[in-house]
Amino acid sequence: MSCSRLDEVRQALTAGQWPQASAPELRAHVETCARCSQEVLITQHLQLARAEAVASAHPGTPSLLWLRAQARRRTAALERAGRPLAAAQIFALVLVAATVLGMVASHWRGLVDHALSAEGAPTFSLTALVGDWGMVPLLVAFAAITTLGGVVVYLSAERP
Amino acid sequence: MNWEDAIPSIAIAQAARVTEPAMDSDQFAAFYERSAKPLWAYLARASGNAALADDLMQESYVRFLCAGFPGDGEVASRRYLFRIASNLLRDHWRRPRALPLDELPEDRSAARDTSAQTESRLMLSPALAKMRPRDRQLLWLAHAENYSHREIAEITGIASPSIRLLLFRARREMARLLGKERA
Repeated sequence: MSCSRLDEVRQALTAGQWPQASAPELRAHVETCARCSQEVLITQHLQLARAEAVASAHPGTPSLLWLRAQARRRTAALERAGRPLAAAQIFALVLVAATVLGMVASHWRGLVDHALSAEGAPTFSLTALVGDWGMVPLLVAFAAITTLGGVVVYLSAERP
Repeated sequence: MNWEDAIPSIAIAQAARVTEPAMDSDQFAAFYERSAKPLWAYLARASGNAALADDLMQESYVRFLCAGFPGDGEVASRRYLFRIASNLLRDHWRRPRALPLDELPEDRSAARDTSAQTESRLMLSPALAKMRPRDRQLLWLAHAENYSHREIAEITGIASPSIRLLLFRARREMARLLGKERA
């Protein structure tokens, strides 16, 4: 359902010319056209409701919203900046876990024997470790401590 | 991961630059002055809840500022603001049901009535309350805010060809309900 004069009616309604300032011939058309009279009925009611709602609106001050937005922007920026550090943290943890698991997997029999023997404490020394694995465990541990240490320093300095 | 990401201070400075608002505080205050009341009216009428409209309006402005919308003038910024508000409304409708329109507090809806407004409100409020929230929203944008179908599609996220059909049905339903109220 459409009408060729609908745009004219809409224009008159939008410009606030309806009904007094619009042509009598257009008014006569609206009385006989179902589509245009529907448009007038709904638009007039909703425009009145809008005027009423706008008059009763009590928006707060914009400065509070401005400050809230600033705080949210800053939080978002910090979160974004913290993402690479979180990734480094996870990487370091995975590295440490993998090293520990690797060492346990390769020495599990010796560890079990030590645990089961009644001869006292296991003979686990740094020299033996370096002999078995070369410098790999020490390098990994050093890298992990360095990364985690950096993260800890950053978090304690930047986060409230 | 590139090298800038590894240095927090650079990343923070960049992030702050990216999220810098498109307007300064004075420009925002002026924009707020012009757009807050129509936005509140839209939210209050579409949601049927004045308190909710207050909350959603504030959240809409905060998100608008955080988004740093580099809008091409007042009209585009306003349309973007209405789009944010419409998304918030849609999120709200996905949660438990809103209060009906006749529960709008009297002091918020009946301030400074003229007789025409009173008569209109007596007919319109029950009719709007019986309509689906999305239909109320579309009718308001089309007839109270005078947005075109294309603009309504942009604001609501509904496909433009669907707007014509949905508005046709909403108008027919509204006219039927208003006729009923009048009778």
